[in-house]
Amino acid sequence: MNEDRSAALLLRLFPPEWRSRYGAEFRELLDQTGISAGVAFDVLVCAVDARLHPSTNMRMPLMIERLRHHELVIFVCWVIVAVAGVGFAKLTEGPPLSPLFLDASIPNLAYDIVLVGALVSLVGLLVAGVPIATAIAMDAFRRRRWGQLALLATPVVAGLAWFGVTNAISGVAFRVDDDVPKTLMLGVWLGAGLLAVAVSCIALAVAARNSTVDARMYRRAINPARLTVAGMVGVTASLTLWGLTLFVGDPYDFFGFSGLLSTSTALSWGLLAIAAAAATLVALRAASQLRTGTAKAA
Amino acid sequence: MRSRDPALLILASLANGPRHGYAMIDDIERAAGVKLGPGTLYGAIARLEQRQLIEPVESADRRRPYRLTATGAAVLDKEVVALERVVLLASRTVAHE
Repeated sequence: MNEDRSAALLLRLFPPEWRSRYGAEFRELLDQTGISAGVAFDVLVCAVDARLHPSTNMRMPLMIERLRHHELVIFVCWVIVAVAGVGFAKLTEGPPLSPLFLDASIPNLAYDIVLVGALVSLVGLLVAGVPIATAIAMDAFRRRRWGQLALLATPVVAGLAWFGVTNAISGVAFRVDDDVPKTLMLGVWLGAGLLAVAVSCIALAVAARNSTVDARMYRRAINPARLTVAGMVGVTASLTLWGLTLFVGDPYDFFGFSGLLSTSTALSWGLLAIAAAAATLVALRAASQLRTGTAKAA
Repeated sequence: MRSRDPALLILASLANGPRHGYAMIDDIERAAGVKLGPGTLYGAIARLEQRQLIEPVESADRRRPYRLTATGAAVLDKEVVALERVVLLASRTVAHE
């Protein structure tokens, strides 16, 4: 049995709270000391002690854990705003709400600001997230943690699955004349998409939480994460402004039925604006708690 | 605490500044001739942290360093004074024999 596997087995002897608090650093120590019969016995005694005398402060979060938590919160909020943004793009892709057809300057300006905000937040997210994701993947390769790699691959698999659902539904939808099954299928398609997004977010969050990536990676991501949130604020503000100015300037179209899945335009816009605003507020709160801190050790 | 108590040895090691687990093992072995196992070390670290005598420090390294808290430093001082008394008593006894 190799040392990596032995270390993983020894760690399993400890209670989950203990592993969650000390697991990563203890594993690092075992990598340095190596695992002899004496070390294995010593660890076994410690594991029994940890189970007999559970500590009360195991869940005390450290600075790096808080930083990772806030950055993950911003990522999940960005995904929600991105989904709302895709919904907005769908809402405004054709007549009568597309900028090409809408004869109103402020909603069209708001539409342009949504695009700029989306671009800014995407750039921030990529600058913050790609180095961390790469480091997590390289760490998983180095330590041969295939489960971690599977978690990182989840968004791709979920995307492909959703693509398959899209193909299957569009194949059936063209053969169905009745409006109700069509709406039902669109609902299934939308639900499958949201499920794929949710599963991907959870998988990436678990992968980040399980990894032992350098704290520096998360610190370097602080300013890009703030840029992401700034872009989200732009998207949410302009998306809200778009609907309000449409309501004032063009109530006929605002109260029409050109919304998502042929529903009310006002309802579609309202749901998108509420989702984006809620996610942006949570992201702003997380961004306000991003802090740095370092120390030298022997 | 006894002079070979892992908790006291850890406090003594951290008196010279923050250290991560492997550095503590190395430091304690060189200074006191006691080689702590990883389990013994982390068992003691968990108890010391619970009693707020030591605390983790943020680090760019994967190995997490720890440092003494003010309470930990005070406890260490008290233990050192107590040990010095024992050493003084023992040395007087040895001198009279």
